[in-house]
Amino acid sequence: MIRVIAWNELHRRLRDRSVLIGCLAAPLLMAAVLGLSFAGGASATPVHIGVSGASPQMLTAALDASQLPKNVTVTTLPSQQSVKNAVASGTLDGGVAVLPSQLRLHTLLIPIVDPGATHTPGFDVVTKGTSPLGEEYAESVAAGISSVMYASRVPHMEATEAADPATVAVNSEEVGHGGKVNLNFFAPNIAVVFLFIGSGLGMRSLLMERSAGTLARITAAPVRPTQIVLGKLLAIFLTGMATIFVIWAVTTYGFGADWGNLLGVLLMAIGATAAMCGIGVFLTSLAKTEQQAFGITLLVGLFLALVGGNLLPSGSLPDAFQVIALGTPNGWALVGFGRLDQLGEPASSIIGPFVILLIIAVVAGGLAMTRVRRMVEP
Amino acid sequence: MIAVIWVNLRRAMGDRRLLIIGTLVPVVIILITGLLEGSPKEPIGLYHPSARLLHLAQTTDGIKVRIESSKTDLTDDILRGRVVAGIEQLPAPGNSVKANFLVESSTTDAVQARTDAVALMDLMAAEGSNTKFTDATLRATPVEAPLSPFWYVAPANLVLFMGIAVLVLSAGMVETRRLGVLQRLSAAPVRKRAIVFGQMASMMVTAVTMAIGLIFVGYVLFRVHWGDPLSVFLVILFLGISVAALAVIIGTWSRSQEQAIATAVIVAIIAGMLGGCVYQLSAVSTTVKNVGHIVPQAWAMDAFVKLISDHASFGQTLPEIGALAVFAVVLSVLAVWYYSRKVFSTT
Repeated sequence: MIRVIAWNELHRRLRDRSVLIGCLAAPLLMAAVLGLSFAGGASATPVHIGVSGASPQMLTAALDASQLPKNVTVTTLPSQQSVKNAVASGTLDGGVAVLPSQLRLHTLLIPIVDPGATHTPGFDVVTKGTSPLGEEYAESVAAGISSVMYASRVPHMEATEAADPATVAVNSEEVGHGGKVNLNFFAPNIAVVFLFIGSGLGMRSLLMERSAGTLARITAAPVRPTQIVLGKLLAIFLTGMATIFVIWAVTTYGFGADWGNLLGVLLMAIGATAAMCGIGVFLTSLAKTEQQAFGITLLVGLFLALVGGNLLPSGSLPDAFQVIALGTPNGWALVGFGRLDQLGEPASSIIGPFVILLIIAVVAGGLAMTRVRRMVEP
Repeated sequence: MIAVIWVNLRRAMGDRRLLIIGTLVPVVIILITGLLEGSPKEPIGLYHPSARLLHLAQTTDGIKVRIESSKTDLTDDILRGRVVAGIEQLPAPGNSVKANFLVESSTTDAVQARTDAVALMDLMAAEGSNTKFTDATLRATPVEAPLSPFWYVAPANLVLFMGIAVLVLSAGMVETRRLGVLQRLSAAPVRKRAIVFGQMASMMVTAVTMAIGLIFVGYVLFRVHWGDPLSVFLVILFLGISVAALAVIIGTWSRSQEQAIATAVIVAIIAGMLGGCVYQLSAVSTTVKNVGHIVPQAWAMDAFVKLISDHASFGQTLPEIGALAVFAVVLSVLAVWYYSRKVFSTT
């Protein structure tokens, strides 16, 4: 009987556009946007910087000091105005105009210790807010020029220092998944956010049935209330698993995301779905109308996603917030999926988060069952 | 048209969901994300730093460091996101400086960390052994206060939640249709576009009111200086018109309030993602950044970034305002056409 109710619920949900939108179309679109946004990574994007007011020798020394990566090219321009025009028109991502007449010793250090300063005497660091990388590399070039000029003004303690100036050599080394790190991080996290929304929509349907009177007709049949509730919860759970599966499939096969060990991903998907569905159903069972249920779904879902760290880059949360995040199922899902996709750990590493998610699912689900049973009992 | 506007406004003001989505939620999210984004930058992991590099890093405003006991720990912290990048200082002759820079991906934060670290190494190479000279010069060097840490999240959440709040109002159109009000209006001597513009105008009033409130809160609480007032007003106006027209289209298409709300929220979030409201567009490829400009949110964000970060004038934001005006016109025409076809169709 539970299977019949679950199947009927699933069938009804498939005919309901809002569920198709919330549980399938939306995750599919989100996964596609995430994949297109992060699949290639931003590291290979060429960045063009312009410089004026620096002699060729000074510029060569400055670029050597700046240790710019290969995707950054620097062009010499004739004047400060030409740098500004080129940045404004989009030809350049950033620029530096050196104004030697305004340079003082102490102001030479501003581009080095305060790169983002809006007023840098002696340098006009021309940037546009829409190109943060251009801004960073322009500041880097300014710091390089500044350090070359500073070196010529520092009284040298030893004769050899002037004759054989010190150099800087920085070698870049990539660790982990490189450019795909954002995709690997956001893909499971967005899936977790949608689990909550999907479970809320499922619970809302129970409230709609109650107001439409169909729930009363079901309870008149020889069906125990527990069976009705379990059937509904099973349908919500299966919809949640479908959501997470859609996002996993699209991001993995469409965009090359790596969620980590498959068994671990499956266990985390089950645990996260059960926990989010349990909490989603319990919280929306507190609602009196379907509008309230939807409101609770949206607001609580957003709040949990934010506090749980689903919407911010990996590791962004300060230490205190990371502890607070563990008070949410989102936080534990983040820990589990993070061990799999960020650290490449085996399935055994997620047993802890999986068990905790199951405990949350059992407790929240139990509370939800109690409340929902009262709704369906005649 | 005035009657349509008045009725819709009354319904919107009575909708607690809207009031919460339009006011409390964005303020709380701006506060939380701003505090997180604006908290001291993610630290740079240092492995085996020289005393001088460590001293300069610890005394420079805006740089936070974390000493790592081994390269494995450093790599682990990078992967876990505890540090944005790592520097492993290597032995070098004389006063030269040599280092490995470890990073997982070249995000803006990682590039910023690299810029900061290389600049300090340049200073070490430039000063040679005369560190006292540098320390004395640093004491005389003025350091400016940075932009408010909320400078990006405030406009990003304003644009995102303006979209969500207005699009959610499309559910009201569904209710109006369900009650038969739209059909009765169509029998009256009222032009189709007057009905559509009436619906849009009420949504516009809600959008602009909400935006003004958030701008005020952003200025007072979060110390965000929004820039040229005329530019800000036009950006909000045209964005509001664009989103209101889209809300009319969603409200006309949806069969139930729940469909309207679900569609509205999803469209608003995806448009927000493409427009740079959820993550900065600097994190994505140029192609995706360009494609993202098919939504008005991207142009609104470009305008706000120029106004707040670059202190752009009205003239400098004209391209973005012009693009938003085009979106407003095109989407409004589309809304009137679609509404006419759907509501007045005899099939």
